[in-house]
Amino acid sequence: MNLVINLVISAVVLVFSGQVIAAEKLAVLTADKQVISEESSYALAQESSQATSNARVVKKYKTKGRTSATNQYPTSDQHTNQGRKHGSGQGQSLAKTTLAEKTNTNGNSEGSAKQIKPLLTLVAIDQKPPPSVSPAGQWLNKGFTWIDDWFIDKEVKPWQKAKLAEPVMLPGGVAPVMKKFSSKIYISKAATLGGDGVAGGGCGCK
Amino acid sequence: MNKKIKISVLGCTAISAGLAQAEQVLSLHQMQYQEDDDRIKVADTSLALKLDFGVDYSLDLSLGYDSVTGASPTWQIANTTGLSGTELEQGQAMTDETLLGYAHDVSQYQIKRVPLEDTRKSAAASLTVRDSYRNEWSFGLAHSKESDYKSNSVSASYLMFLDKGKNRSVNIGLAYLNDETLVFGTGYQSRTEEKIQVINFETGLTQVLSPTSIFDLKLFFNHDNGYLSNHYLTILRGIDLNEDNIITDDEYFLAADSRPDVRNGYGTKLSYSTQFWSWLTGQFSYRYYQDSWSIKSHTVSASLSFEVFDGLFITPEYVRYQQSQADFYLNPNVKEPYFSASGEGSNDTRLGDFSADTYGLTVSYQVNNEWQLDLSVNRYQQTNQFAASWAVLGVNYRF
Repeated sequence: MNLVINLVISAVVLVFSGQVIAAEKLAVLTADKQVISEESSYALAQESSQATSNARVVKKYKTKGRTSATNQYPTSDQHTNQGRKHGSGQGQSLAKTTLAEKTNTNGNSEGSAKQIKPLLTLVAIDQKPPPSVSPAGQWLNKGFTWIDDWFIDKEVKPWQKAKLAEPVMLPGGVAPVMKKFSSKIYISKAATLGGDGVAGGGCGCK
Repeated sequence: MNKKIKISVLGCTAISAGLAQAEQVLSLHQMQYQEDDDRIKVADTSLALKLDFGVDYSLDLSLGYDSVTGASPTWQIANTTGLSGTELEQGQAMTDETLLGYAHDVSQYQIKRVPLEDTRKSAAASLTVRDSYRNEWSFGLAHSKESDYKSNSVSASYLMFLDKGKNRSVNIGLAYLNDETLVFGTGYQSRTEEKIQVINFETGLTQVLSPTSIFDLKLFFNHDNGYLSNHYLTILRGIDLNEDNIITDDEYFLAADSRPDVRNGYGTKLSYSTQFWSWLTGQFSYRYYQDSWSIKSHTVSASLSFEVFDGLFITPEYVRYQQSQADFYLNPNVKEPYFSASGEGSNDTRLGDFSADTYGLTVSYQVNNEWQLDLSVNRYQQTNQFAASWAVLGVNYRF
């Protein structure tokens, strides 16, 4: 039972820790765990409390036959510098830092690291998503925060808007063209107009 | 934790992108409108095409053709024999307003129905562009032509989201209309081309209140400038031809409807939509309007959409409208509906003090993923004895 739990935990670690994965790959490929310096091992241990399950992860990789990966990972100085930077980031930038970079940084196993291609990197997740609100929108929103305080109990999340997106909720409902016809009649039979958008043409019926 | 949030955001973006599929819709609708007492009949046909190019561009195109037949009531001279052009010229020399006829006795002026027949052809196009923030720019062009009226307009509007959840947005829009109309001259002897220029400005705020309700606030301003009178409508003016300070029965003239050349109107509209249950949705709105002609109006509307079964919506609607009269308006049914020799004046009941109720019922049925049928019947009643009915039948094809 404990073995199963450990395997599950190891799988979770596998998903969220590219460094652990790379570390075990490196260990498999080189068949020499001494390549990992004490310093890099310490960093890895900081980033994953499951470092003790490395052996099981290694076994998993062996059985899945994924040891044929070849290294296409950049080894330029710039990238190496990025690796150093990430390596000293208290584990916050987990994704971009693979063991390949760590070993390059240490200078102990450069030749081996060049042959490593990480199976999983979380670069896309680690990157900040583009801002979803324009700077002008953000600035303008400061003037409307009182609405949140007074009227909004809980912010509506994007995945909660299915009903709001239904045609029946849109102005004019499921048949918005009916609104256009009736508006035309109201304009020609009363003396007022406005509030329904600016688009549209003139009419002698007014 | 931070990663989880990021993953959630990415997931939602993917879902949103999946939902925002491009859709093309071709629709054809026709309205039959008829006023009580067999006054005016209108047949209005509209063909519209909505094209989505990916999720960043939308193009709306529409063509319209409507024909108007019937008769409209206005002051006329009952017996055209014995008219004198001399008095008409004499009276015209004493006023800047347009005089159209003269009868020797005021009793000869009667409100009669004047036959009219016209067609209106219109075309409009609107392009919507969405930027990386999903804010929207919309640009519109419209053109319409009648036998005596021509209109060209250009519009632009911008919708900007204010928060990450896209729950709050502001919009701002501006339109410019450049219209031309043919106007009758003295004694119906000539027609001149007059200009009308209109600027419409609108801004608003839309706020999502809950997963099932949304609120919208709009402020609008209209500026009309040019020939704003109705050259088909007439009034009676008393002109003291012999300058004895008394208007006698032989000193009344048939004159053109005359309104100020400038009109500034403004107001606000509040809208609220909510889904009570998955099968019942309500839309409610209130609009207040006021202008420089002293007209004030209130409009309240409410509609409930029942989804009887999947794809079939039945929507009853009620609209209550109330307006006060323009300061130059005179009810044509009062005992002495006469205007002075100069100054604005109109007997157009649309500028009067009245209320109106509209009862509507719309049935919309989505036959399948491609076809949707729409039917609407409406009854409109004013407190000044005017009433009309209209029905719209249409079909939409999605592809």
